[in-house]
Amino acid sequence: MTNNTFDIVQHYNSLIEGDTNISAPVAAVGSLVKLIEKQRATTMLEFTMIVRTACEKLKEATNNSISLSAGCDVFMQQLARTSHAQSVDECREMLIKAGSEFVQGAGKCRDNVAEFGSPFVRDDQTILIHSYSRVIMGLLRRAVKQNKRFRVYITESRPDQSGLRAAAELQELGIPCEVVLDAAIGYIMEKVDMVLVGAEGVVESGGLINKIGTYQIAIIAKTAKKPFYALAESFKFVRLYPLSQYDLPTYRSDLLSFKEKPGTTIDWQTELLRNNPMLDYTPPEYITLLFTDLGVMTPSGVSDELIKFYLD
Amino acid sequence: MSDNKSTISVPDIPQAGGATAGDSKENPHTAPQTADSAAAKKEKEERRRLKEAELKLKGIDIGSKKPQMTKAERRALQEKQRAAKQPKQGKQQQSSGVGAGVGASVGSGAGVGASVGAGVGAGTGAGSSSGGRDSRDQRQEANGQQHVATAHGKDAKINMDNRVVLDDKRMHLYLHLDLPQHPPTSASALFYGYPLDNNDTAAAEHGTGDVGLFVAGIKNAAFPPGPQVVVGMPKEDYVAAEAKEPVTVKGVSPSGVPVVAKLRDAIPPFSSEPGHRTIVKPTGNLLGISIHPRIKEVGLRMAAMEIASSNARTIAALNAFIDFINDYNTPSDTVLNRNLTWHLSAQLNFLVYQRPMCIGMGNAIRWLKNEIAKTSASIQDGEAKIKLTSAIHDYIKERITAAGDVIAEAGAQKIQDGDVVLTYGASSTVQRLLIAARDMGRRFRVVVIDSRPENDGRKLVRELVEAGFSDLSSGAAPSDTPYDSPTHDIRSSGRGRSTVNNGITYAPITALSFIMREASKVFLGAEAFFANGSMLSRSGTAIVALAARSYHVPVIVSCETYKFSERIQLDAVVNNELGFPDTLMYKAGIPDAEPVGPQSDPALSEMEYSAYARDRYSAHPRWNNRSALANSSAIESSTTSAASALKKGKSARSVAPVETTRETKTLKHLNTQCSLSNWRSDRSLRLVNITQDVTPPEFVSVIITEVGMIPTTSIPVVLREYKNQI
Repeated sequence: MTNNTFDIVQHYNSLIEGDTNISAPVAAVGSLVKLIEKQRATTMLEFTMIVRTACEKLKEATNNSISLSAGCDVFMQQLARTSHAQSVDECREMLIKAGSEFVQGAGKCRDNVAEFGSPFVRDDQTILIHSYSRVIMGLLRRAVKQNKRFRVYITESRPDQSGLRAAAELQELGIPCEVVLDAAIGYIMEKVDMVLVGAEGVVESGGLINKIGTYQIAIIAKTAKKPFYALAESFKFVRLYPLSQYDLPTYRSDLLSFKEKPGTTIDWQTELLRNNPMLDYTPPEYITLLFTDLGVMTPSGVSDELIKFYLD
Repeated sequence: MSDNKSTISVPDIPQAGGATAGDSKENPHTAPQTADSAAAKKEKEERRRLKEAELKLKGIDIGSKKPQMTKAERRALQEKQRAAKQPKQGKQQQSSGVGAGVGASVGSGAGVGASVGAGVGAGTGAGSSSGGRDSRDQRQEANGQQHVATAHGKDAKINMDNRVVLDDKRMHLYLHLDLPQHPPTSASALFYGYPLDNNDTAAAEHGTGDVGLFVAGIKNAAFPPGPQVVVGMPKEDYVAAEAKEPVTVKGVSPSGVPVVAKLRDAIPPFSSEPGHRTIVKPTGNLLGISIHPRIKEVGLRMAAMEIASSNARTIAALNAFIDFINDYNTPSDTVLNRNLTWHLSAQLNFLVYQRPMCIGMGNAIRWLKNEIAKTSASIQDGEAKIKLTSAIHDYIKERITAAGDVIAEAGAQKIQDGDVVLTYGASSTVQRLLIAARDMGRRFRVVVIDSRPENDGRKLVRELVEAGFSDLSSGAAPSDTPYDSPTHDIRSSGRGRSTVNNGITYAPITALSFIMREASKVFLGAEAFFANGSMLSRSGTAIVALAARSYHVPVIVSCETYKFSERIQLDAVVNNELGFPDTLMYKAGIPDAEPVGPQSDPALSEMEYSAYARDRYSAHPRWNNRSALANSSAIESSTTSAASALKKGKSARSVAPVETTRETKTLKHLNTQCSLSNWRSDRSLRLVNITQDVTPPEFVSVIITEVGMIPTTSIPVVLREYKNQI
C-alpha cells in the first residue's frame, strides 16, 4: 500500500495533542485529508480502499471511536459523492478541498451552536452542566458576554473529574459555580432551571451518546420536569441506532460482568476505574431540545438531517 | 336511458338476493309473499345455474377472452337499472328486479352464448342455462366496473396530502382526547377496507364521476353535500329496524348526470349487517374491458388467501401487470399512456374487488400508473412495454426483494448473543432476519407469540425449526464457567439471561405478560406505516407492542419503505378489513383445534373454491349475513350436485332432492362440530374478526428499512426525501 509511509493514527494523535480545542471528528477528517494528499492511488477502487482501511485503523486505535467515526462517516460520504468524478486526481482534489473546508469551518460550528443556544440562558437562572464540554463553554462564554447573570452547578463527573476543569474555567469567566457530586444530582435537581450537556455523538434516534452519567441526569431532569438541552455540532451526528446501553460500538462485555477476579484481595479502587464504562446512551424521549449549528431542533430533527445527509 | 346515466345504484344483486332468500326462511318480520318467494326461488335457481357455469370455468383458464358488451347484455343491464329505479326499494322490488334482469338475459341467451368466455360455451345444454350464465358474466363485469369508483376513490385519497379518514362519530372521540382535529373531508367505510372519497376526482377524470360511493355508517353532518354521491343500499330490514327515513340528497355529478343519493344514519360498529358493504352501480364506460387471465388468477388467489402477505401480494400483482402490459395493444385512435392507464384501472378494480389492496400494493400501483403516465406518447408500443416491464422488475427488486435482504442483514446485527427475541405471528421479513442472525453465528432464543384465528405463528415455528433453531446442541455449548457464559451477558436491559441459548418457545398471546419478562427484544413485521408514525399491522400487534413498552423491551419493526403511506389513520376502526367471522368458531370441546372454517371443513371448503370471489368468504361480506351460510351451502351443494348431474347428461332439475339432503347434512355437520355454528340466526350475537390494528408510534423503538434504521418520527422525512424516487 502506498500509505505505508504515512501513519494516520500518529497524525491524528498529534492533531489532538497539538490543539486542545479540536474535536475528534475534525481531527479525523484532517488526518484523512492529509492521508489522501500523500498517497498516490491510481484507481478509484484502490483510492476508496485506502481511505476505508485508514478509517478502520483510526477507529481501532482510539478509545473514543464514536465521535471519531462520525468524522470518518462524513468523509466517506463525501467520497461517495465525489466518486462520480472523472479521474482519481480530480476526486482527490475535490475531497481535499471539501475536507479542508470542513476542518476550517469546524470552529465556526461551535460559534453557531452558541449563537442558537444562548437565548435560552436568561438572567437569574441556575444551570446544571455535566462534565467538561467545549461547546457548553462556548455557549456560556457568549451568555456572559451578553451580560447575562446566572449560576452553574457542575457535576464532578467521575472518573476523570472533568467537572473540576469546567469549574475552573467558569470561575475565570466570573460565573458563580459549584461542583456537585455525581451522586448528588437528585438532591440538586429541584434548584436547577435547566440542564446542559455536550455530546460525543448524536445518533439517528435523536438520542445522545455522552460522558457516563448523562443518562441518569436526563432521567432525573425529566422526573423533575426540568428542560434537558444537548449541545452538539452537526458533525457529531452519527449513523448509529442504539437500542439500549449495551448496543453501543464501545460496548465491552467484560465491563461489570461479574468476572472471577484473580488474587485474594482486590484493589477495588483500581478495579473501579478499570471495570467501568466511560459513555452512556440517553434515549431521545429524555431530551427536550438539541442546540446544533443547523439550528435548535427536536430529537426527531436529527434523524431528519441524517437521512437528508446520507441520502444522496 | 343510456348506460352511464343511471342515477341510483343497483344493489349487488347476488348478495341482496342471497339475503332475501335467507330472510324468507328465517326472518319473521318479512313474511314471504307469493311474489317474493317466487322471485327468491327464481333467484336461487339462477344462482344454481351460475354455479354450473362456474364449475366449468374452474377447470379452464378463466375468461381469457371477455366479450365486449353485447346488445343483450346491455338490455339486461338496463332492465336491472330500471328495476332498481323503482320508487320503492323494498325487497320485493329488488327481487323482482333481479328476476326481470335474469329474464332478459334468458330470453336472449341463445344469441349471446357464443360471446361468452372461451370454453364456457362448449357443451352447454339448455338455452336458459347459458342465458343465466351470461347474465352472471355480465354482472361479473358489472361488479368489476363498480370498483372503478372504489379504486379511484382510494387513489384520490392517497394523492391528497394527509387527508384523514374520519366520520363525525370518531370526531367526537378525537375532540375528547384532545387530538389534532382534521376536517371530516371524506366519509369512510367503516369496514372492508374501503376508504372512500366523495370528491372522486380520478373517477371524474375517467368519466365515471357519476359513480360515487356511499356507505352506511356515516352521519349526515359529516357528509359533505357534494354532488357525486350515489347510494349504497343497506339491508332493508335493518333500515326498517332502525326506523330511520333516509335523507335524500340531489345533485349533479361532474359529468353532468343528475344524481340522487340517500343517506342512512349510522350503523353501529361491528355490526355484521351486510348493509356495511359498499354497493355501487355499474356504468357503461369501462364495461368492455376484459380482465386479463393472469390478473384473474392472482386476484382469485388473493381472495382465497393463498397469496396473503403484503409483499407476496404486491409482487404477484406487479408480475401479473407485466403480463397484462405485454398482452396489451394500443388501439390506433389513442395513445398508450392514456389508454393503458384506463385498461389498468379495470384490471385493478378486479383485484380490489377480490380483496382490498394493502397499502404497499396501493403504493406500487400508484407508482406504476405514474410510470405509465410518464411514458412518452411518441414511442412505439413495443418500446414502451419493454421500458415498463423493466421498470416493474426494478421496482420489485429494489423496493421489495433487495430491500428485504438489506433489512434482514441490518436487523440481524441487532441480535446479540444471549438475546431472547420475541416475535408475533409470522412475518416473512422477521423470519429472514432471524435466520440471517443465526447464520451469523448469534446464539439467541426465539419466542413466537401466536393468536387465533390465524395461528400463523405455527408456520414461523415450523420454518425456524427447519432452519435449525430447535437444535439446542449446536452453536452454544453450555459453558463450564457460568460467569463467562454469554448467556450471562448483561446487555439488553439485563434481560435475556436464558439458560437456553437456542430454541424456540411458542406461546399464545394470552401468555404475553408472563413471557415478556424474559424477552430482551421484540421484532415485528408491519403492513404499513402512516405518516404520523403509527403502524398498521396484523391485529394483536398493538397489544404485543404495548406489553413490550410496559416491560421496557425495545420494539424493532422491519418494514420496506414502499409500505410507508402518506395517509394517517388514527386507529384501527376508521379503516380495517374484516375477516371471515366463522374462523372464530372452534370445534366444540376441543379448545385449540383447527377452526371450523373453509380451511378445515369440507362443507365450507367447497364454498371457498368458487371461481367468483363474491362467493368466497374472504372477499365478500355475504358471509357476514347471518342467513347466508345455510343459504349458500345449499347453493354450493346443489351446484356440485348439479354439475355432476350435468356431466351425466341429466337435467339440472333432477338434482333437487339431493340438494335438500346435502343442505341438511351440512348444517347438521356444522352444528355438531361447533357450538357457535348457528350464530347467524341469533340476532344479538355478532362475531367480529378484525384483521388489522394500529400501533401508536411511541411503542415502536426503531424501524429497520432499506434506507437505514429510523425512528417513527422520520417516516415523513423518508416520504419527503424519496418522493422523487418513488
